[in-house]
Amino acid sequence: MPTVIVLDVSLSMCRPVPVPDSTEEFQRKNLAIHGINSFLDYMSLHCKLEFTSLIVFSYLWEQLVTFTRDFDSIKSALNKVETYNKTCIEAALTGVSSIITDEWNSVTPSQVILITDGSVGYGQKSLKHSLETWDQRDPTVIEDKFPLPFRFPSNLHVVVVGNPNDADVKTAIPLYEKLIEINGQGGELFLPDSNLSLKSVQTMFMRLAEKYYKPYTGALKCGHFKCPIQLFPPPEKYDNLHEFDHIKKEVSSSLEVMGFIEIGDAASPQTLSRHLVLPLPSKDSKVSSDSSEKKEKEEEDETSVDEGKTPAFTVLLHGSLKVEGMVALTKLAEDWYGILYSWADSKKKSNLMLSILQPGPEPISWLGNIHNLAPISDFIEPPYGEDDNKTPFPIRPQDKRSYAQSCVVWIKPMGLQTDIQKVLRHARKLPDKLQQFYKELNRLRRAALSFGFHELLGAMATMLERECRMLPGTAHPDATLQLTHAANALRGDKATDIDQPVSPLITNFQQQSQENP
Amino acid sequence: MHLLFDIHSQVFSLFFSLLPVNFCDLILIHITPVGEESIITAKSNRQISPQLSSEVHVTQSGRFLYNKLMQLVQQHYSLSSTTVTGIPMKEEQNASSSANYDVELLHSSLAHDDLMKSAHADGLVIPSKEGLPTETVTLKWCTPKSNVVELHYCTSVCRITPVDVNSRPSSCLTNFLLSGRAVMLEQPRKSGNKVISHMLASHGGEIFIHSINTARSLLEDPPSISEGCGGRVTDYRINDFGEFMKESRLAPALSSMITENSQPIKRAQVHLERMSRYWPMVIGETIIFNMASHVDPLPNMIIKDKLDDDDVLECKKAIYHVVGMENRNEPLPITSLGSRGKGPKRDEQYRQMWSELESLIRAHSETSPQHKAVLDCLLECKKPSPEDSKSPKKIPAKEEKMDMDSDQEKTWKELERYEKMTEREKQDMNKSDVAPPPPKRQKIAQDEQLTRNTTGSQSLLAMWTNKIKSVHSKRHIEFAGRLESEGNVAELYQNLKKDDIPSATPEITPLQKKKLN
Repeated sequence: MPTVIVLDVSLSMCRPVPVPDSTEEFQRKNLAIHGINSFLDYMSLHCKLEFTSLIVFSYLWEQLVTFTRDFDSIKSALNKVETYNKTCIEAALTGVSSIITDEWNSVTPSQVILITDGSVGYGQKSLKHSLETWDQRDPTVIEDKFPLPFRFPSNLHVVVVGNPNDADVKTAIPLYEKLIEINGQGGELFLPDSNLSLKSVQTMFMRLAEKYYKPYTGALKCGHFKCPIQLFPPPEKYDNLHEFDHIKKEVSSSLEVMGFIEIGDAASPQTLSRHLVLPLPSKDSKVSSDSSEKKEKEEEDETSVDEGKTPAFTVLLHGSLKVEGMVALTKLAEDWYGILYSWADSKKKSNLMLSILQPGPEPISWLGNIHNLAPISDFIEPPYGEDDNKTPFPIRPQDKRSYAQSCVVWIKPMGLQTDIQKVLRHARKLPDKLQQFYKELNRLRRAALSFGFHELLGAMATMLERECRMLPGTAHPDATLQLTHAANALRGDKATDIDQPVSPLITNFQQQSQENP
Repeated sequence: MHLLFDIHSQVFSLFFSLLPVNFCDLILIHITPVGEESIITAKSNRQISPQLSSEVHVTQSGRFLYNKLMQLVQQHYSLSSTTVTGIPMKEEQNASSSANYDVELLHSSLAHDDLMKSAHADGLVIPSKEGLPTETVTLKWCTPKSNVVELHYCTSVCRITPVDVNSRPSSCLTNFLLSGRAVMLEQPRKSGNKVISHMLASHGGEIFIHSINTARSLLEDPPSISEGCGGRVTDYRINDFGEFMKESRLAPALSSMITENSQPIKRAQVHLERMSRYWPMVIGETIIFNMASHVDPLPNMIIKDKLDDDDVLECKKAIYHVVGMENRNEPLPITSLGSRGKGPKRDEQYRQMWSELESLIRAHSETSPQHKAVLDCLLECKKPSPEDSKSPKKIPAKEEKMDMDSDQEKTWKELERYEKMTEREKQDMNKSDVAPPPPKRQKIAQDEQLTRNTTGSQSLLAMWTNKIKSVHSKRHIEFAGRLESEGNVAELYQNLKKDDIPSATPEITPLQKKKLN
């Protein structure tokens, strides 16, 4: 999840903080930067691949560091932060909204960490004023729209670098809570546990980091194969209202491969999110008995020297998935599945990837219900053929779609015209197109009768008679006979009987042509 | 209407299986003949009671009614419209030239989520080209170039239907898709950069629109799998695992295979469990899987859940074949990984091989009495592992169960278990009155017993051993040790038992000495 650190650099952040037993004088800004640094240290240890950006704001806002994995660049930018005038939180949030949407579209879940000191500004641009008017803005003026709720999935955290007992902090708390509530997607208000100090601010930031940036660790299993893994980014909890029930799910710590299918059969299914599957060094030494302690030390040394040389199941799996062009169907939790496959970015560095599918037993409609997938060893006749020349997928639904069958659609004049023209085209090529002519004619007639469009029958008869008159002298005599026959049939007594199709007139010519094709 | 609600609620209270109606939106459509003005005016949606709202629509019949219904359908099922532009189609009259057509499709609005929220929507949205009173998003057709199967990251996958179902352009597009080809759709952006955001494809006779993620990827510049744990190992059994995966593919169960008490997917797990009981991941850790031509078909047979007598015989043959190899002192296909000079000595290699084979067979011995018979056969044929050769430098074969803490530790545990196992086994053997050690002798004794019995398989067995014996006798002068020993079998390398310091240079075995003479 990309993170935006939004730091208040208004004048009020320069207020000094009395720190006992210290000759050095600290400003709130210094404490905040200290907190951010320890947060960044946590990130570089546990979430190396996260993208983070730094925005500073006062009356205006500025993106100091664009989204990066280089946490040191943020640290060095923090050292150069200057101080500006008064606080305007709405402007900052508008800025956040635009930079996240520009960079990550509106589908990527993000975290916004707003760091301020409890002073909420004065007058028109104060937070109080913003919150009083946020839902009364003129919707036609886009610039004036309140930035919350964000258009992308997000956690909004407000971190207050201020004494929890200060009066301004106390009045600001409900306003911050209101911000989080308006965004309505999660996030938390963080206050120091005790009076402001380097320590309390650092602890506050660490609370945030440990709660919201917890890396996912678990195990990937496939029969007896087992490999400790990390997923990046950590999978989100699923909490959504479906048509008939509310589904809440969490990816379990044990991902279990159920079996394999071809990439072509999986066919780019709908995916909630994608995660890199990174193997972890297997270090569970605490659990082991004393007798093997010494050996274990050796082992630990070895793994730290070169853990790349201990075989890992994920690497084997990745290699084979890549070579065979297959995906591994993997169970993430009860009734929740994902697929593992080899994925390469443009630089051709490939890695094992997990795509999380929609929860439920049927996340990919063309594979059918996952519970009904059986190992091929259960089949008497191999479902993939003797030489792997066929596939049991996709599963075909019982009914054909309207576009997959030739139903008659006469919503627009064009549809009717096309169908009539088709009949006439065959009429001109009689007797060669005898069968097609009657087939189309009956299709038209049937539709006309079904729609109650009886006028069409007479009109069609007139058209056929006209075609008959227009026939060139070289035309086959049978053509005249058939056209007259068809025109009469459309006007006859049985013309409106839907069970009586118009059948070709039996003539001597046909027998001849059948004899010498 | 209220009455209806009341009735429904009463019925619901009687039958709990019915879904309660929480809300009803009543829509009245007043239709007038074409060209006639309506005396009823349309009314927008208004709330009549907490459970009921109503609206009135007025439309002329025919085409107008169709448009009205399409509009309502879009509203109620939250559908959006996409117009695929620039589809090249051959003219019916003039097959050499092709003209470009547009086809409008309807689908769930989910497919546009990404597109509408992001700012690129500029210029993409136009009034419906089919004359619907709604808007449509134009996406440009990209002629498919290759049929490479790729897994795209799709944020949504929705079914589509053409607005004008069977018009010529529509059916041309749908037939193309139903034939199995996929079409990418591109956003015609004003800036001119090419953004492919959607894909049309059919699965099992249904056509879907896939929305491809266009946002910046969180996973850009990912680490390569070779940089992680196990990434430096180069001798993974990639192809063997490919076979493993192929044999563990899934297919939709036939209706006859679905029983009430077990889901087919559970069978798939059982299958994986059985397949992976003994499966070394790297070539350097296994001997038996590198000598497939010698031990086949045993490794493939033993993992089956049922063995018939012929299969057992095949397995036994494989074991006897290896016995033969050992007796002939044939080299084993050992890959000495990076180790300079000599690998382990040949008898050591054979010991490893035997213990590996035992691990494999033992892992399956509980499956059926037939499996147990194979294990018994192996235990009879295997040489006892010399107790006094427990030098820690000798690596016993590993059992790749993967549930141990680490490879090394596993090795140690394995060694312990292995040794325990063989001791217990020996005790068992000592207790049993039939088989006094050494087992070699016992085997011969059993063979002789078997020869006396006259069942088909046993006589074949005897023939086999006889054949081996005769082959041997032709190849060398009888070894003095064997002549002296009881039961016609001499134990080789007896000095190993006495002297547990392995010598650096390969010793010339008595057998080789004889040959040299």
